[in-house]
Amino acid sequence: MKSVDSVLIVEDNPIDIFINTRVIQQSGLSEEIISQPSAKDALHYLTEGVSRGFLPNLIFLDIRMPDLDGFEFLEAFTELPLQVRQQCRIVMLSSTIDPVDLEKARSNPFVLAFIPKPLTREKIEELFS
Amino acid sequence: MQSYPLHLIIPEEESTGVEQLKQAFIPLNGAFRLSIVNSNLQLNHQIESGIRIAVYAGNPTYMSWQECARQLRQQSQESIFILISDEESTTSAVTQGADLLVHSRETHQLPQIIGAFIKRHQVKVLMAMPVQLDPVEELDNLTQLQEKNKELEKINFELDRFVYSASHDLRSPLTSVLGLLNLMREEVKEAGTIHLVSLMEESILKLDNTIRDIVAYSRNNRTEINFEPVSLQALVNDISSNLRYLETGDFKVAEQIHLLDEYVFLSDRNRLQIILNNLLANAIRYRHPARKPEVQIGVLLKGQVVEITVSDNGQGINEKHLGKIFEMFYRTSDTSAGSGLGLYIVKETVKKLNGMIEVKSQVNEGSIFTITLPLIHQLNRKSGEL
Repeated sequence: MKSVDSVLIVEDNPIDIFINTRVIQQSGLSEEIISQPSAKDALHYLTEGVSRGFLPNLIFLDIRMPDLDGFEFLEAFTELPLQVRQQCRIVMLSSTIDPVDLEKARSNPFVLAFIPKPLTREKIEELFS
Repeated sequence: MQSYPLHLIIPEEESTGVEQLKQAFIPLNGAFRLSIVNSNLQLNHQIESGIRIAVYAGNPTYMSWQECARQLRQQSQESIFILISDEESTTSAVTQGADLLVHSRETHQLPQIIGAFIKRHQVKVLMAMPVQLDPVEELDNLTQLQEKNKELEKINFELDRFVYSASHDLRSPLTSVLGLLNLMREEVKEAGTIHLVSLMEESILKLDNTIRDIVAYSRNNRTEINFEPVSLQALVNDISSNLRYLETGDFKVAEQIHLLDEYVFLSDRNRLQIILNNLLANAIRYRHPARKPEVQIGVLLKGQVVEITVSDNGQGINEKHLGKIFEMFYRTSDTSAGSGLGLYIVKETVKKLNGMIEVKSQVNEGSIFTITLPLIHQLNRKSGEL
């Protein structure tokens, strides 16, 4: 199973942060797992990452969050430095069944895939198959 | 639902062709307010009062269709004239004043064809008003209608967003619990606990299915039919890959799609997705315990209908249930994973598309669901005709 250096989880629900972190750990995808509880915090973290010299390779992005939602994060993402956009690939993770959401996710050029919650080892493995 | 006034211009003597034509509009429950015109006197009077949609059929002797179309246009540029004829070609019909040419063999699909045409020419129908009103009043009514339409679209859109928002808020804690149950399975070794975890998962999945079914039911009732070109192959592929996320265990889906290449299949993609998704999910869910579920999807063009069959090698359905499985909340047993809404929704959705559904089944062998949908021709790719 392919592994990456580090993963960022953007999620407001602490229970889901717990689940995603565990599943990613158990799948062997990455040992470095960071979480940010809001889109704004995540954007801040990524901007700082450039000066820190350390950026995540994969971002698991929730859609429905208070304040900025996943799609608004994506809009802001396009304004981030080139380095961030080149290095970080995004996977959207959500409990939504709204086809409008699914379509928006799938048609966004930065989104690698849409995964319906809950995240599982199998779904992670399928990402890289 | 918007109801369009439609005038049927037919010969004075009744004929079977004309009777069939009138029958075609009956299933659509008031989508059109039908008025029959079968004499010169009536026609002149109607043209003067204003006709929005005219369907000319059967070769009435009191006025030729060309003359009728011409007079209609004189009264109002915005009215729609539909000609039913086997003699004319599309080009000749359109150049002589018809908006749409339909062949007599397609009359039973006429409401859908007109509906699709109106959707593309929404403004035209709204703007064709009865002539009695004076110009100022006419304009007021027009703006009112357009405003009302916009308002209804907004309400429908907001209701949709509400339904999906509410369903997300209900589903979110469920997906969290499912995630936690998965983790529990990994971390707990005791067989008794694992068993409890499975039972919890089953109950949660059942709840999730009910939520999805309620959302699907809400949308089927409210939203208009949206005709668009549909690739059945792509649709089946999408559904299969979505199901892999949801269903545990392996399964196989094979398709055999026999639609002529030169016809484009027009239908409501969302509704087709609901139908096929439900049937496929059922076929896998009610698998036979001794074998891997295999589902065959067949699509066949049979004259004026498209026949879609979904056959599985699952548990099968006992004869005593067959008559009731399409009923709301009917489940064959309390332990079954479904909500009891799935097949009811399939039936309602098929009905909305003016189709029919049948089931044949053998306990321990499997089941075959057959759906027949009226075929709606789009432009024949080669000849350019309807």
